[in-house]
Amino acid sequence: MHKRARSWSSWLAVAILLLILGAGGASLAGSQKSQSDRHSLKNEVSGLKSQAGVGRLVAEQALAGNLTRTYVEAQAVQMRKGVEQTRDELTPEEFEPELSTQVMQAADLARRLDGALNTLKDAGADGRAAESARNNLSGLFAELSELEEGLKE
Amino acid sequence: MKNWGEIFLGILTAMGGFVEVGELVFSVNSGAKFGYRLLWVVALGTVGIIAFCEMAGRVAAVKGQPVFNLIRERAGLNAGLVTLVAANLVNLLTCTAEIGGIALLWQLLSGWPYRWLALAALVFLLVAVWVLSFQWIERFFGLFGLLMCTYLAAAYYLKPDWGEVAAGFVPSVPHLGSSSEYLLYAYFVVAIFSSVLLPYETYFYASGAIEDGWTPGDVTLNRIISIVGSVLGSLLAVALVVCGAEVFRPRHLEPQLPGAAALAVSMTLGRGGLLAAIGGMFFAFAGAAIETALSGAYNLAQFLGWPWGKFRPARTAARFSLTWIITFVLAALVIMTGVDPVSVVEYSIVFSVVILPFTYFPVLVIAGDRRVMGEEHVNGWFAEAVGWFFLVAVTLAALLAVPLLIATRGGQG
Amino acid sequence: MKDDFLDFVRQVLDHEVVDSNNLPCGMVDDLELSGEPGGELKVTALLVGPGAWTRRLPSGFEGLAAWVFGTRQTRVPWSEVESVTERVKLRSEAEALGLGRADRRASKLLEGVPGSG
Repeated sequence: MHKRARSWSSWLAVAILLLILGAGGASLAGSQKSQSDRHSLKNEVSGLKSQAGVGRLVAEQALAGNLTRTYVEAQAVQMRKGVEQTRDELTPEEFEPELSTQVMQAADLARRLDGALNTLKDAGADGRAAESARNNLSGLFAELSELEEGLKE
Repeated sequence: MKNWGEIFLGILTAMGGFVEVGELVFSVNSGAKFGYRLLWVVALGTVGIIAFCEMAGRVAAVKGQPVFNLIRERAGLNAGLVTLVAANLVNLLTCTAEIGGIALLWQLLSGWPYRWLALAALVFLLVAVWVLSFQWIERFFGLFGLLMCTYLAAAYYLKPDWGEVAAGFVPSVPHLGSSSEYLLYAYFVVAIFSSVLLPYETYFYASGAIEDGWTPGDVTLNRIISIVGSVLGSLLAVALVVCGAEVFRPRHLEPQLPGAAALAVSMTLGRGGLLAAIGGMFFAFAGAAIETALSGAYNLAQFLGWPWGKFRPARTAARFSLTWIITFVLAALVIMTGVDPVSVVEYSIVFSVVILPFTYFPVLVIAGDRRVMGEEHVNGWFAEAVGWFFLVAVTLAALLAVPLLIATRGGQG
Repeated sequence: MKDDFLDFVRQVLDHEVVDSNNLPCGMVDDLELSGEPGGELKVTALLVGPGAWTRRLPSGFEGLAAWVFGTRQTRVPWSEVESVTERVKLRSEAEALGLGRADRRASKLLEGVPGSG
């Protein structure tokens, strides 16, 4: 039985390695173009939309008194980090030329989202800040949803 | 056979140690993306981890041999060494993700800078593992990990449609809009399966059986703990899916950060619930970090024949001790470079399932070998049938994991 | 040992070695045989240590493994073997046979750390 275990393990290792190499090769072949496509941009916008939505939820919960001040501040900082990373990737050169308008739009929304999350930081201590952040983030969520919808194939 | 108190403690620590950062993120996101349509995978994975842990625990109790001893014997040096290197790289990845998760949670409580908190997490983990005995590590992190039960309470108070929840346990593929969505569903099937069947849990469990001095008389204890502990632990995973489905799905959100998952608890249980949820996540992630670091040390020591175990003085098992210390340090250093722990989590989950068949098969073979286990303790027909079924399942998952990761662009669709 | 037959590949090679105090002190990384072609072959010793198992790896990996783990190897005469079960148990302590040196060297790094035993 141990000999069978050993040869079986070897065949499985070969199969997995071939699948990984095959999938990697196919992926590389498919992404030979150096620029990202509509699908990638939609994914970036979806990520921003989620951040806006979670931010809105944080603001609502802060208004309801269900969160600590430190949680709200720290959550806003963590989300801003994610948004900053996405912002850095949203340059027209990174995407196909026909997407440049949408890329600029997404970059602008990311910049505004970053600003909104910055004001969210104070929502834990200040009810007005929480309400303003909620409204701001709701608006951004709607705009990002619209952009995401427009990018669907 | 240990007394009922020990059994109860064993079950609770197994339950409290069930969830880690990858399982948390994937469970909540599976609820957010697909509602309850992936609960059958949680159930399937739970049966799989029961089978794997029960067999590995039984072999450890009867033969006193842990997983990587068996791998060296049965798979041989070459295949065994490849498995060892792969398993320990995955352990290191997972440990890294857990330390990153701890730093994120501590930031939610303190507001201090993330990198400093990663360093503080490193110091905390080093001291905890150095000072505490194996039994106290299990109990402390396992029992405090039960704070995760706040998610059970939250899931209850969110008032889901329980009929819909129950229907989610019936294996089915939902009607989706495009081929990319089907691919994403398949990716989540593999990822959820992997996050429940994490191999380091079995290395740790089997080595722990030897640390706890289990004998053939503890075979029934092993069965009870692995079955009941895993079933109760999986309820936590189900609760996370419910939270994702009830809180994030209606809002079309996919939360990426562990702290966001706690919003589901704050909505239902207020500020106290939020703090309990963060506390539960901390103990769960810290327990997982410790399990992965110790598993790496167990694997290396068992494969190469070094003295190992927390039951030995650190200087007697010096290379074993240095290995887990180095694992923690390396993991913390990676986190301090600023890498996103949630991205690390994704890769650790995917590559965990890739190596799973290599660690699972030798355990299955030995547990079913009458000459080794004896007539009394060898796999019965049911255990053999379940064991072989899961061998096919984990092999299929291993073959599909990386192609799906690539095809779905890292789970984004 | 079971019956009159000992399957060295299955029951001895790649099994754990423990000393007279049941302390793990390596794996059976290779076996030393003596005898002439066409004549009787005897197992004369166990070979324990990275110097023994790295030689069994495919040629491309032998060098890397030797660089990482070293080339040290200890010869344990077959006469030192007390029993063969799941483990190979030896008659003497590890130190007396020259085994476990790496752990003793590594333990110096932990000297002075409170609780290191």
